[in-house]
Amino acid sequence: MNRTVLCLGLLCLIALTGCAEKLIMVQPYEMEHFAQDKMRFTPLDARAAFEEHIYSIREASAGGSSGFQGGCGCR
Amino acid sequence: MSRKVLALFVACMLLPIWPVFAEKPRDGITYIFDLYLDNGNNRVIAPAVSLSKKLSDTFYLGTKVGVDAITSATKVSQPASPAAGGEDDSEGGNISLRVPVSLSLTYDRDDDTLTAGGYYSYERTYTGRSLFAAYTRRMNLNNTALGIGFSKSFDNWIPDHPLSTDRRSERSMDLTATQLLSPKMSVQFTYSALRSDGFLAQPTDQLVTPAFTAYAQYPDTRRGNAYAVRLVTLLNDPTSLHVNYRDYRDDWHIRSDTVNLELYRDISSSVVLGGRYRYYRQSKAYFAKDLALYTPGDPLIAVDYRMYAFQSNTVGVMAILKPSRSFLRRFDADKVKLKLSADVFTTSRHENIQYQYHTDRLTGMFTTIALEYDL
Repeated sequence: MNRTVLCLGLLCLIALTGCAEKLIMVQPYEMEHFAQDKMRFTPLDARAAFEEHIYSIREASAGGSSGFQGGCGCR
Repeated sequence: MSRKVLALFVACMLLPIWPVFAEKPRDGITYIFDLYLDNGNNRVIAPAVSLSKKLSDTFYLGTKVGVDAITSATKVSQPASPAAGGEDDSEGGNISLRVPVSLSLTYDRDDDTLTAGGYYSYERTYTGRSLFAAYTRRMNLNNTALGIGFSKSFDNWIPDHPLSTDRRSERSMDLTATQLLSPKMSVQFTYSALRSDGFLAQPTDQLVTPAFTAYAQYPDTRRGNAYAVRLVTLLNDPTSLHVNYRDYRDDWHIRSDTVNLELYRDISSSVVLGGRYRYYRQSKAYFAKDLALYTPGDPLIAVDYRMYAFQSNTVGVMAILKPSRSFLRRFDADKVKLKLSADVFTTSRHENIQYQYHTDRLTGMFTTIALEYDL
């Protein structure tokens, strides 16, 4: 866990300092593809929420999607 | 690039931070109808309405209200010999209602977005209360987005027999970094820290043997960590590929791997079709053992198959439909989308599934119908 937090902290530091310019890999006029549904991380928002709930009931794992799930007696 | 395209792109990057509630700062309403069925005689029918209303240039109010009609979420166990095929429970016979409500407020200005809110749900055997907050900062000309989210729940069981504690509390922290790699590729890394304490088993899970009967009991704390990476790339103009991998591990010695592949393709200007495959496998908890090996002196007892090693596979199809102008004469067609999905999953065979559900493996289907309308 500490290693991951450290890596993410370093990434934040890079992004917030002068090295950040190297992270500009796409110019604003090249971003048209990312406006399409099929290029979103969750193209079907409602399904993403529902299936995360289903899998939290049917499996013992959670997390990794950064989606919030409220409490439920099914789990 | 137009402001609308920029807003959509920003929303795409924000969405994974709060896919459930503050999905994106927009004026819009979504009608959702979820359905779940499986061969363990479990059924969930869950209609919901999600509204996000722009209050001012920077503030948005979000709310989601639904009703989950559930059968078998709470099983009523009756003593029976495992040799006779496990619990003789009456699951599936009763319908219980769960009413989840969430409310959130989003502040969105320039490169910063902050959302905070609360969640409440009530069902006959459980009360859920949560607070959550998330912050996202966009930088590097929107090539990079960093997010952090917290949630804390204060839940209570309403059991029909005494528990060691009626309380269950869950905390989570999510750190997310999203980066564009090229005009056709983006990647997202997520780390989740999960902490639970209180009564963590299902109060109704019961081990019934010829010698003794006992309710399931798990450790009263659990600490888990999940690491995930998502990659989205445009293979060619009409086709995109999504690849997700998650590694999860916790101090109950459960470790899991999840791989998810999705392919989307534009069929026409108004139809996008997709297909998906998901593979999941997990190891067992350290206190889980063969049901016949438990003794009355065991302080920890697991009956639920989720505490044991198993695998599952899911296949599904998805569709995104944008109705034509001629079809929606009274509405602005550009503001309407219909999103449909149907998925089927099946687990590997396991004796605890047989014990709990009287079938050697669980096979289920879940579908979602979502009608989105921008106000």
